[in-house]
Amino acid sequence: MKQLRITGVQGLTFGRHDGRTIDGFDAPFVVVHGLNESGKSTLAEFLVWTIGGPWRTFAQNTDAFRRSPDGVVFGRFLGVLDDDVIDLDSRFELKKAGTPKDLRKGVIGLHEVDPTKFADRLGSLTAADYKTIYRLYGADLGDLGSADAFSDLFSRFALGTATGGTSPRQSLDVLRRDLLAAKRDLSGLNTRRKEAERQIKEASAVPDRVAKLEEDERALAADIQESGTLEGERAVRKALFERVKAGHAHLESLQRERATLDALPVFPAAWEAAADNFASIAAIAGGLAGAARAADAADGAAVVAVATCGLERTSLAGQTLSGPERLALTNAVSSVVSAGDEVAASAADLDDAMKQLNEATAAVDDLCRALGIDNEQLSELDSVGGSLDTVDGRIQRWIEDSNKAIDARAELEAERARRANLGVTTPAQASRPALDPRLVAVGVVVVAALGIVHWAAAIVAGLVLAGVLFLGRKDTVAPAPATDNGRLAELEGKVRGADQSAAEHRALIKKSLGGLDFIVTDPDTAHGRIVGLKHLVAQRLRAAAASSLVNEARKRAEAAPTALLAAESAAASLLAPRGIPMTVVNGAFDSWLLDYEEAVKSVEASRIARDKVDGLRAQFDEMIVGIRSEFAGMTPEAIVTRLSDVRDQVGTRRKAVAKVHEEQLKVTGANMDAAEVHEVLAEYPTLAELAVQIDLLDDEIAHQRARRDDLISRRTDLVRELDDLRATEVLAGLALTRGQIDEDLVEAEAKVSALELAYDVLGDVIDTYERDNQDPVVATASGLIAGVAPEWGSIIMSRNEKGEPVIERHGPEGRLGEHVISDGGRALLYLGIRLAFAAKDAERRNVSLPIICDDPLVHFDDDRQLAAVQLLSRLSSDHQVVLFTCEERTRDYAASLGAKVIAI
Amino acid sequence: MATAKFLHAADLHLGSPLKSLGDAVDQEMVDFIKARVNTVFQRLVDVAVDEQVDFVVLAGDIYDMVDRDPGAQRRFLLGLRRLDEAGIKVFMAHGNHDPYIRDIPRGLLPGNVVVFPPKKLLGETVVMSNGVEVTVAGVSYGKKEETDNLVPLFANLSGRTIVGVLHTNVGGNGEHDNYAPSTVAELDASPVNYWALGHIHIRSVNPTRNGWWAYPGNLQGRSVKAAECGPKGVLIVEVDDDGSIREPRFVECAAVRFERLEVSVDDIDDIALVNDAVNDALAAVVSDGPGLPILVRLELVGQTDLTELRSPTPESLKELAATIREEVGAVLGDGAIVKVRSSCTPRVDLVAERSRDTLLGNVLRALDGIETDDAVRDQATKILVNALGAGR
Repeated sequence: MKQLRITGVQGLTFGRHDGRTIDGFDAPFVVVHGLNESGKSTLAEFLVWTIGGPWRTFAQNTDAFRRSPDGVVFGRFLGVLDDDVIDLDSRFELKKAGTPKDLRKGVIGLHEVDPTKFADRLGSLTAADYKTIYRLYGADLGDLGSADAFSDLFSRFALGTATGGTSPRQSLDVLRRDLLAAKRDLSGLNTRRKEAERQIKEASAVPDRVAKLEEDERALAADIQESGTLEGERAVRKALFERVKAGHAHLESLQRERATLDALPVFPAAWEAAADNFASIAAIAGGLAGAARAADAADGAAVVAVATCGLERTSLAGQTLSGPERLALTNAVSSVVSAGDEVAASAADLDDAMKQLNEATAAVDDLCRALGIDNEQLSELDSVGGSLDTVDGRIQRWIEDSNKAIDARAELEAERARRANLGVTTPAQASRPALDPRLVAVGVVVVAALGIVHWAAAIVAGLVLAGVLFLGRKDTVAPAPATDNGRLAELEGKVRGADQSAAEHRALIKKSLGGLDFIVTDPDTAHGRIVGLKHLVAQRLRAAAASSLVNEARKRAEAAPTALLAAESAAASLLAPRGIPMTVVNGAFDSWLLDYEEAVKSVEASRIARDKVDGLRAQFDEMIVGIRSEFAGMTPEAIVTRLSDVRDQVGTRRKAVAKVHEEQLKVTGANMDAAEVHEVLAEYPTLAELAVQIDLLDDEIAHQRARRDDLISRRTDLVRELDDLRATEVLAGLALTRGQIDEDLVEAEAKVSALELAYDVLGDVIDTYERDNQDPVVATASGLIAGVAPEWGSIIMSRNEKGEPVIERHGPEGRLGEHVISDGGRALLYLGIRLAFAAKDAERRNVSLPIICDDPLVHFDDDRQLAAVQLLSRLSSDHQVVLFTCEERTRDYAASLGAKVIAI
Repeated sequence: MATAKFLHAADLHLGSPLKSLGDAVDQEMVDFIKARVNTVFQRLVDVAVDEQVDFVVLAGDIYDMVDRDPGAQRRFLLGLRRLDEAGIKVFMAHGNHDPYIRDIPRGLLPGNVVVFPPKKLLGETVVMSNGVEVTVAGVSYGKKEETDNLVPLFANLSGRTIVGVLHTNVGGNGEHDNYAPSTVAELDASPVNYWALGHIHIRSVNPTRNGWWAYPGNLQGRSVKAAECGPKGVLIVEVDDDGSIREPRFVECAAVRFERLEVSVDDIDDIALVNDAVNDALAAVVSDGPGLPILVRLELVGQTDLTELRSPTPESLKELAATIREEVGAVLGDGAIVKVRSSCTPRVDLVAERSRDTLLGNVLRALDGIETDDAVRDQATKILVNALGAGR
């Protein structure tokens, strides 16, 4: 078996050991002695962490290392594993929570190791294992609770299971829980079976239940019918009582109404008739007053209107003025006025026409004289008047040719003169005056335009034009051509040609003018003469027109007076019957006619209004004809007031009569003469008694109705249940359910039985097996303790009913449970057991690990302390033992036993 | 040799022919099965008509309970009418489930039905189709707990061929209530040639000195309980013209069949292969069957390393069952696996273990030394082997 031994720690960086190196561990039994708070526990913990790995969490007092400056616990760990040197940088990083971070790193012999490899070399050592088995802490050894920690250890070691494997005790506990669960299941199944049985029992009763329900249903149906019958009877009875009660009340009402009627006055039929017609009478009376007012107003209006038109009202009576009549009057008067106007106008027109005729005749005479035309020649004018314009054109060309001849002749003369100068004979040529044709044309146009305006103006303008043209003519002298003889001949030919042409035109003019050709004598005056001739024609036409006008005007002037007389006669025939004097026939007749029309209408309206008054009066008198004498001297308004009173009284009486009739009908309707009514009345003569009976009947009816409703509801539920029962085959389903439960029960019972058996057997066997197989540990512990305290006795370990280990000391006093052993004795006991486990564990791992004891003997008395030190000393032959203590006596005793002492 | 026939049936349990349908059959399946088993009496009638029997014997427990189901009554009545129409007489005895004290109204029964009264024997002679006169005698239970031995009532019967109809527990069968107890010797000593018995649900045909005593078993299996599994139906009994009775012939009438099936997982090392083994086993069952829907209780047995099979939780077992059911439809058709159980153990040589000084060896030896029911011991052994075996 290999052995791990600590040889030293160097360069510590935590707690009070900062910078410290502690050698001298290289011994089987080492005692580290120091005072309290000297850092023993911290150093012990460091060694535990270094070998087994860190196990404390922050909450488990890791804070003891807090004085390390950077939160890192460090130290160089030196040791040996048999022949291999261990050189390990043991570094642990403290954390706020959880286990410190394990940063161990180093070598074992030639092999580099980290925490995992290091643990592997120590038989897969875990921090929990090392701490549980090899770390002996004084407080733990004295703690009663330590026994719990042994439970798991005993199970692991005694029953041969590996660390971390399922403990048989755990399996037993699983069986226990399974058994409890199976019993719960069984209990549940039993409950379900009871319920199924109950349901089956219930369902088994279905045929009886159906029969019972059917019987109940029939009974309910009968009850419902009976209840209905009773309710009906009560309802009939109640109706009778209500009828009697109502009839009773009606009788009383009838009597009251009759008394009321008797107290009212009675009116004769004529008064009642008048009262019945009151509305009409009042309306007529109202209308009569209004009509009278309207008639008066119409009369006033008529007087004014009649006065306005200047006629007598009497003459207007009965007159009408319809549209046609009005039109006829207007037309007639208009004809008179028009005829008068015509008389005047025709006389004036005759005067005008005569004046025009005289003027035209004078103009003709003047022109004739100017032109030298006598009356006979005037007749010629009529035949040539239409060709004067043509003649005028020919005159123009005649003038032109004549002028050409003059010019040619002048030229010829000039030629001749030139010749003469040259010695050549030149015939002389006479020049002729000529008119500017443009001027002539303008003058003609002006004259013609004036002729359109007035024939006299045209004549005057024509004369002016003729004068102007005459005065404005000029002499043109044709230059004489002065050539050779050929030229002379040419010019002579030209003169002849022009003369010939002029002569031709002259001939045509003559032909056109016929007997009046004398008018035209030479080209220079020809134009003016022709113009004068044209004026003459125009004046003759004017004179003829004026003559016509005179004739026409004369005819009108002769006819107008006759027409006036006829119109006046016609108008008179229309006006006279209406009493209208002819004086109104003038230009203002239309205005007068309006007044007249108003007068006619007013007079007629007045008549109508008066007629209406008369009619209403007659109606009014007719309405009260039977009682008219009663109102002698009364105005219609007073009569109406009187009749209003009567009407109210008649109405009141009639209502009373109607009420009496109504009450009579009610009494009759209540059949108050029936025998059953008499019976009721005989028994319950007062209304109060009847009311009480009705209330009682009401209660009975309500009771029967409620009862029937309840019965119907119950019957409905019952029928539904019946239907459900008839429709459902419940028994088979329930039996099936029960069968399934039974089957499950069989299984559950078998399971419970099997689990109970398994649990009991396993529990017993475990107990026995533990007892029979705990010798190696317990015996070792006993041996260890006996070696140092022979009188102490031996250790017996058993289990209580919970499976927890029970440690007993079997000594001179017999078997003592741990709870009755002294603290020192118990600490020795636990030390022995712990060391026995260490031996067992080393055997399993094939590695002997150091046992770190941190003041484990605090609870030991003097003898026990010495015994314990002896025990540790003995064990140090197999395990290195490092004992931390503050006790000098312990230190010294250990030293006396060969322990190496390190003071800190 | 002309033979005539009669039909022997018992324990119809009409109205509640099923006792259990397992724990995982859905309502649709339940309805389907219930609808089928409701036809079981119809099937009996069909067999009777097809076989042209002269009469039918119903040896008690026709109804499941004293108070009957209305629907079952109706179906029963219609069946009786069909038999009546076919000229087949019916002899009816009441058993512990339907004692005589209450019955369907007698007036409703067709004229072909003879109901045996309680306490006293009633016999009637039937002339069979082959001319043989057969005396059919029987007695009904007057109460549920009929504890009297009724066989002596038949002692004085006489005739060439006697059929005794009785609901009885012959030999005190522990699986059933010991009503109207009788013994084989008593039956053997009686003059009855054919004991048409009822009460025991497992079919059995046994010779006597004069002929046979027989339980046809119940008409329809009612659960996956062992006695309810396998073919269920009626016995057709042939009577030769000399009056002798031949060994009865079984005819299955059940509408569904219940079976118990154990499938070994010894050779299975992967949970995924369990279905294959189950399907193979189911296929074998179906191929041997009559084409009826089969309702199977499946139990996985054997030794395995598969924890899922050794120590299933209710939930894991439910999942396993669901996985198995997913595939069995093709094999079982209208049938179903109604229950799945696993009683597998770790691979432990129990014989060798018993000889070792291990905890398990001590446990096994301790179990062996305890006097208890074998089934309980076996189950406890499996539990403990599962608890300790895997951790050895």
